[in-house]
Amino acid sequence: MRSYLYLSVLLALVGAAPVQAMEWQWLNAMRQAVQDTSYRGDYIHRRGDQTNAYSIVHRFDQGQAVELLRQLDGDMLEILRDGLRTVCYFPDGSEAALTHAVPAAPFSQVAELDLQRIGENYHAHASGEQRVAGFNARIIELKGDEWRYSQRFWLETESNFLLQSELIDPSGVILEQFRFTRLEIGATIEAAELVPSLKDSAVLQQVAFRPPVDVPNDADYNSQLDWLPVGFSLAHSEAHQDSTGIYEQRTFSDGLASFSVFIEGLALPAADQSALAKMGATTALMTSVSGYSVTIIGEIPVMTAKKIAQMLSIATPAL
Amino acid sequence: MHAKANESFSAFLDGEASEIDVQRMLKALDDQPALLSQWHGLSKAKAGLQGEVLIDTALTFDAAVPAVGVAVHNAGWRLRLQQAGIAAAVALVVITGARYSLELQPSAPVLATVVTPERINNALAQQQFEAQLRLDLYLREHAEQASFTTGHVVVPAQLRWLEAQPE
Repeated sequence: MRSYLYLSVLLALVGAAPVQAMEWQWLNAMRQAVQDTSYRGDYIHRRGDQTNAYSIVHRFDQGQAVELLRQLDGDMLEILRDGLRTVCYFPDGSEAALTHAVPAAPFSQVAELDLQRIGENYHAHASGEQRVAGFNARIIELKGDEWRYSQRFWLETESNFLLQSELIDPSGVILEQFRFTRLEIGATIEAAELVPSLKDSAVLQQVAFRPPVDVPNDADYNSQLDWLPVGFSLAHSEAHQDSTGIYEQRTFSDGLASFSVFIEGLALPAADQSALAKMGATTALMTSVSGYSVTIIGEIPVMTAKKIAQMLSIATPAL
Repeated sequence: MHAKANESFSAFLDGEASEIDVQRMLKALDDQPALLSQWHGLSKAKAGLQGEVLIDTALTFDAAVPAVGVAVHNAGWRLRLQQAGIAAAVALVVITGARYSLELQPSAPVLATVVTPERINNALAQQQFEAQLRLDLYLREHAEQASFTTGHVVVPAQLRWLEAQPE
């Protein structure tokens, strides 16, 4: 009898654990599908009133992913990602192309989804089916509290491949959207498709390697955040100090969304001033606290950024 | 008379100003300093048309306020625009239109610029422009870090500027 009781308690616990639900399994499969599938297609990325179109060829072979991304409108730009190495190709004279954002396909850079953590901060529910880029997709919505935006994902019903995603504000306005318009999942990718067309012409390149991840630590920072939206924790930190003052940078994440806090300068007597800018889902709040310049940037609502700034204190550094 | 310069300014607002545009703007401004306020008006109108969001919460810049000391990574043309006050005239609007940017290392030497005293003393202009440059830099930093946890990512990693070399 007792063992039955244990069993039923255990079953109840398993049932209650949110990340065991199908929606979460689909999301986990989604991240993997995005990275571990060969495909080719075109997608658009819309941020606020700005839209860009891209083509992508992604080959996954023997545990290795190689991907070629091309910007189809505006400046010519090709990005080759080979493992942890990224190379940007663009025609000589169009360096301005790199002053614009170069979106990677969503979740293509995310090593692992921390479902446990995301599950603590968001509720997932399936909200119907739709057709996207010729595929049937199920829609998964992730909704958190008022301090963060909701996200919506369209997953292909067979493979859980991500066909469309959106960041949505509390009033339902779509702030950012990523959507495939044409897609072949499981395509056979020839080596020639992964050769940038700008490779042999006169081009400038940028090469990047993914930097090693340090364990973040802000224990000895001069600034202190006395309030964080629930579920956000430190993901990255960086600081230095010289004659121009202090520089303290932190990035926080709740598993899905993130924001960064920058403290810079010297404690100068300055008028209270602040400015706020929005680009799609990105909020940027610039203000000053105790004379230091404080900037908060992230995919978070304005009121979240404001509250973080209000609850921030900075001690004068010991020089 | 300054129709060409206005076109150049328009290109500047769109982030498409060429070297010639910059030269043209600087020249026009030398001839007619009042153009600056006219351009400021234009930039505000344009931002309004594009429906860009700009909310100033107690934005009370004061010319007497000392500029905050900040390390600024300047590209050559940026510095010249800064000194001419052009960028500052539109800084408020540029902030709203700011995009994630890959900060380019100066690929050309910074050119010496003739700066008139009233321009360089424009603390307001300096401060606003520095704020904008700083925001650009922060946006890129944030994007890099966010890309490792966030689905909607932009810049994947720290980028190093290189001249093309055949591999």
